[in-house]
Amino acid sequence: MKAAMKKTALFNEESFVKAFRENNEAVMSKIYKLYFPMVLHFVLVNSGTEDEAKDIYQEAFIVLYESLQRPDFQLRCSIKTFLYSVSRNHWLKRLQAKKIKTDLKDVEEFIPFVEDSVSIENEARLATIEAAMQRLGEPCRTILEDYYLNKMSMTDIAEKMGYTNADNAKTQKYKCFNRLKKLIKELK
Amino acid sequence: MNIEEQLRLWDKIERYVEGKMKTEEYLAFEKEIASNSELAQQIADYQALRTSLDLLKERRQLRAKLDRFHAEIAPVEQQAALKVYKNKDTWRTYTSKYLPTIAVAASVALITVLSTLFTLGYLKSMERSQQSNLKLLRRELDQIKRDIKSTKDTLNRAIPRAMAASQRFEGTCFAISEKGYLITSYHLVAKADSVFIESTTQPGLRYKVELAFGDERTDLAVLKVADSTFHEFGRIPYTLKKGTVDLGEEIFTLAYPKNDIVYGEGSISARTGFEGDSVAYQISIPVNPGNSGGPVFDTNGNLIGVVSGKLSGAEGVAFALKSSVIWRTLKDSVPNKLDKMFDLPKQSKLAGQKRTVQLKKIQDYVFQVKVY
Repeated sequence: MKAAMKKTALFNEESFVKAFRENNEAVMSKIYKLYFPMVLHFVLVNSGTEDEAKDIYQEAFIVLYESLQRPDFQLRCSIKTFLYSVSRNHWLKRLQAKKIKTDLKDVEEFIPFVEDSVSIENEARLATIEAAMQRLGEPCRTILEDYYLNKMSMTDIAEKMGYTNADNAKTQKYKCFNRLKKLIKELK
Repeated sequence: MNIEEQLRLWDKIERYVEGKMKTEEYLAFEKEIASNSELAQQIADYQALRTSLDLLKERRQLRAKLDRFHAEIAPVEQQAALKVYKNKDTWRTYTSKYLPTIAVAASVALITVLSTLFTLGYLKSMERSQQSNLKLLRRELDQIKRDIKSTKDTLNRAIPRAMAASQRFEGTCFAISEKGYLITSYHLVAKADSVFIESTTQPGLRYKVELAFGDERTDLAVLKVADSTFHEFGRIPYTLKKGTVDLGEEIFTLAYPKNDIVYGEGSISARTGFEGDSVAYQISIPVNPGNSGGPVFDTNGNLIGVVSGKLSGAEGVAFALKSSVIWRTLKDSVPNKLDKMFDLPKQSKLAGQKRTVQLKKIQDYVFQVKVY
């Protein structure tokens, strides 16, 4: 009976991992909702707010998701422990950044966790481009977001932004792209 | 090049990268790139920025998805789940607080029962009738019940005192300086009231130590002997390896998983630790909780790491913080105190010697950590 239960639990964990790799939203949503209270509780007892808990938890969830997208990645603990360990690590970093010194109260078991160099590099890249986009100003931000992030056609963008034709919009896009490039250079 | 030409070239690059060129144009452009290094550089720059933009796109889509999941959480359910965690926490504090007391109560009860049984055996030997024995048994049982109750009452009143001096953890540490500095795992000593080191190879040795440096990220801690009876450790025989070790290299540990020093051997099974963690090695040595903070040596007696933890549920998978990381962390964090903290010899005195000889020389520099 016990052995059978263990088997189902293991099977579920494996099928969860598969669901992440296949982008199965229903299962991912289920897991998201299942473990959020754990991290919420952890952040609340360690002098954080609910909004901060949501932020930290989503960061951890993204680390889990992106790790599982890599074919060579092997999850060597339960999803729960993984999410808790990453959340714990990120929250510790935030407390350190805020110069708050507290002893973390742990609510679950965790594994010492240091992120690999690939994700550290990606996070740094994302932080830079995000900051550059913020500083870019309008109409550049909307044009670049619509073309590169939302995959709108130049004709649609020209119409939306009030340019007479797609070529004028393209000239504007070129200028914006260069400005973004310059901003990134400054930020680095 | 005027702005028009620049724009045309940039548009070409974009179409090239996006795969929108026709075969003929594509091949011609490829040829041009191959002969024009400036153009190749421009394309590389464009692609770098596109990679960042693609990352941003994926990240925003993922965040939006998670926000959607989050919006589906029903506040009532969240409150209920949160309550479960809170209760679990209370239960955990309760058990960790009162476990010693419960243990004492249980052993007292056991002694009572055993002594009663002894008395019963004695009475039986007097060859009374079975019936009176039965009656006696019942009386004795009543007596046991009363005894246990009164013991419980006494203990309940004594809870605060009984809790005071309970030992929380045990682990291992080892010397890195003659002047009394030692390395161990930070998680062992992080929240300690007081820490002592002992050694079974030098009976009677017991020093009080203090935390001199601790780093939660790498799980590295440096202890300093703070005891008036302490003078020096003597010449330490092993060195610290500043580089990294090859896959498959034979290694060994000395540690205190029980109240005696224990030798273990194995090999480096991966150059990265848990989930690709680059500050640790994965090692194949059977470790138990008391191994935390224990030194890991290569065959020449060079210190190559510190045991930091193991995977629960997997056998023979343990992790050790790399010696190169220890060196870097100490150099970056405590540059002024480094000379005092760290004075391992430049040349190992253990190279080429038999393992038993090596162990004899090392064992006096490895200690048991007791945390209260």
